[in-house]
Amino acid sequence: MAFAVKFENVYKEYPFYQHITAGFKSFLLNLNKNILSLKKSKFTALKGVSFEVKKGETFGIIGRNGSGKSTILGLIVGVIKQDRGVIKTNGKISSLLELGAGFHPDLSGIENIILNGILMGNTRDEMLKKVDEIIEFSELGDFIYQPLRTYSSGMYVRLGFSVAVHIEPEILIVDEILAVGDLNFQEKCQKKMTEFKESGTTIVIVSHDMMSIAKLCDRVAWIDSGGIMAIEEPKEVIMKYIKYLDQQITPSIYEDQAVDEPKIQPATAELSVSQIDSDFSQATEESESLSQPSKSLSWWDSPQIMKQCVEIITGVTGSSDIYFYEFLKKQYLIGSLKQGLSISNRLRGIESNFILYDICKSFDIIHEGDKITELIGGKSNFKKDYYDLFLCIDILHRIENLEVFLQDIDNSLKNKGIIIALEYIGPANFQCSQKDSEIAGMILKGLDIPISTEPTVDSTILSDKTNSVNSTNVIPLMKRFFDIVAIRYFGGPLYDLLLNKIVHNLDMNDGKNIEIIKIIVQMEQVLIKERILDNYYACIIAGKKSDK
Amino acid sequence: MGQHSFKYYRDLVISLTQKELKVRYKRSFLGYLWSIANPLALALVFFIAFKIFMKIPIENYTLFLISGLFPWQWFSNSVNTSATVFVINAPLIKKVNFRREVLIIATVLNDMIHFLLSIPVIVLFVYFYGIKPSLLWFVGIPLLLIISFIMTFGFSIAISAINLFFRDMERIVSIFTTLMFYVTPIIYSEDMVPAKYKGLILMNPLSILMVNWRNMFTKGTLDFKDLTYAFIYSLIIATIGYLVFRRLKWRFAEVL
Repeated sequence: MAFAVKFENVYKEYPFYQHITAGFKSFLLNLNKNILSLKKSKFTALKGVSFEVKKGETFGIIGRNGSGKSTILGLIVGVIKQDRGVIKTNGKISSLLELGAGFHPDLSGIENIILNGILMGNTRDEMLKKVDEIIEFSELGDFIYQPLRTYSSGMYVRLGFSVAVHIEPEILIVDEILAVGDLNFQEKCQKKMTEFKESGTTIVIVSHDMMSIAKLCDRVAWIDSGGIMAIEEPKEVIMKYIKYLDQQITPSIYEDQAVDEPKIQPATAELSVSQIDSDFSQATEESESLSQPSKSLSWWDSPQIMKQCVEIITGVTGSSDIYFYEFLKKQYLIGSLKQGLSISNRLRGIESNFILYDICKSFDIIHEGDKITELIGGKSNFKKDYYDLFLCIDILHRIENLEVFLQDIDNSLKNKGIIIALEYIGPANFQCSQKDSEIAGMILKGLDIPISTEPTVDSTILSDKTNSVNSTNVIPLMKRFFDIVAIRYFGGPLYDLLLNKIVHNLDMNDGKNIEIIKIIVQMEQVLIKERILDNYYACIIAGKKSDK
Repeated sequence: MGQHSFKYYRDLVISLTQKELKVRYKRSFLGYLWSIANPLALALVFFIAFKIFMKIPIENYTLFLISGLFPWQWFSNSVNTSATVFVINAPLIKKVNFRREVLIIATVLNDMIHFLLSIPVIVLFVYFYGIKPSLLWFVGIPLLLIISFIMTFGFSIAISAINLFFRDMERIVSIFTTLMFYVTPIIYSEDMVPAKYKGLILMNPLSILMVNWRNMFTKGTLDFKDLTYAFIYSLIIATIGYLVFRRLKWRFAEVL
């Protein structure tokens, strides 16, 4: 198939210009150093990048800040030039790199439409033909005759988007703009993107919004430190990326504890960075062997199982992380919070922390280990009036004195702060009620899954004080301390069983078993709706009480 | 950079120039009058200083002044605006791929149009002093326009590119144009320059241009030998300027 964009072993280096642009005085003062560094100091943004985007394909690029994503886009658009390697593009390019680049505040909307269109490679006649359509799409009405300086920032972006998508590009370059304007307009943008996709436009898209990437893209490249880590199906790449991020964060926070803390995770499950880099197929094989773990392991000890399980469950119920992520997005909270704290039992930490990347500019993490045990034991030393967001995952119900704990969180939350809790709210100590366990047993029997639904108390859970003493108090107490914004329930006893038992006994690589799990989850949703089963899990979003 | 038709580049230049024209005085009440008011005010100051106080022995001194001052303003404004043109258009440079030189062309054209609009003022003074307009104007104006345009473009494009890497350039340019103004025979005539400096003054490519603009308006004469020199000068300057620009243009998006 013909290509739309092709990179062959592309290198890009940036010299450090600040020696010169910082001015003559500082240049002279550090003359020696500067001359040396002028010769040497270079930042290599891309190190031999090769990939091909096929015609009509939607191609995503993900990676941390500074990994080289923007450089790649700049090279495709042609505003910068590579130092080595070959770049070929095939087709008219329109970029949504910065909406409204080149707009002038003193010109009217219409004048800007035409000027912008011409800058992007159209003739005046072409633009005059499209101008009505663009005005209609932008929903600006009579404002279109007013100078741009009278526009709100939302209107500005809407106009920019409208121009960019109406110049009939063959290759569309999108950089993190999927959330422009109000909800209505966002929907329109999404629709337009789908239209582009269907009409065979090649789309190259950079985003931190993994949901959109997964939804839109055919293939995704993951870039890190200027090199390609993986190019595959979106889900595969995103999971690798998330896992990698998780490993990047955890060690630095637990360095001081690492010595005396027993390793909970099996060694094979820890994919080192270099392993991912050098040979991913091998690493995958290694984790696959974990899908039948020994009995001594808890289900969440295997990232592989967890990944599949979480994927299936959230895929079917549309719940938990994805739900609150979507919610926050709609509340325009993405990127608006400064400081967050994530407290989590290991099991859901990975996805959630990655979501935090988008919500908060910076955040602390308390995962497993001594710190968590301390928290459960009642020692919380949160900084006062410091956090904008608390993310509590599978932790509140384990806290012995939840009232004090929530009070501490309240004190630590800044004004207008938010708390999100993903919690078990079922019967205390995971003691499934007689009725629930009977129903669950019937269903499992019907599906021919040989698992006892008798409630069992896991001795390891009790011994490390992670029993769910306060599960039924979570929602009432949260209501007392915070203003509840939303509660979303996402599973009952079956979900619980699924997570704690079933995945041990089923081969998760077998497509049939995956189907079974889907059926169980769906069935449970129906039973909960009919009030035959109770909710055991909930996502609670709450805000700091405003009357203080 | 992509291949585009001539029609496209024409549209691009026209719309960018239009934008500059619209924007410059869009929010002011007197609008385009300001582009005449400024050089006229300058002319008035020089007239008082040189004609009334210092009694410079030049006839029709007002006409003499403005017929050199107006084309000089074109050059000076263009060069000074160009210095920051890429900086001001940073979002565009960083995100959109188009021929960057078009921005400079539009800037120079914009100032050229302002100059063209001020020619009627010169004509008015020509009538006022009872001088006969010459038919030579119909040849001279287009010729001088082309040469001035090429020369201004050459200076502008080099300065604008260098300024991105060496921001002191814009200050240097503003001092440079002020100095050049005084070593170019605009407020005085080239005959008043002492013989031993005369060669030096005439080596200045801008002198030839300004003197010819003025002579055309005040005397109705054109020195075609001079024009040839000026034309060659302008081509050399434009070539060097463009080469400097071409060497640096790929780094624009990186330093902005």
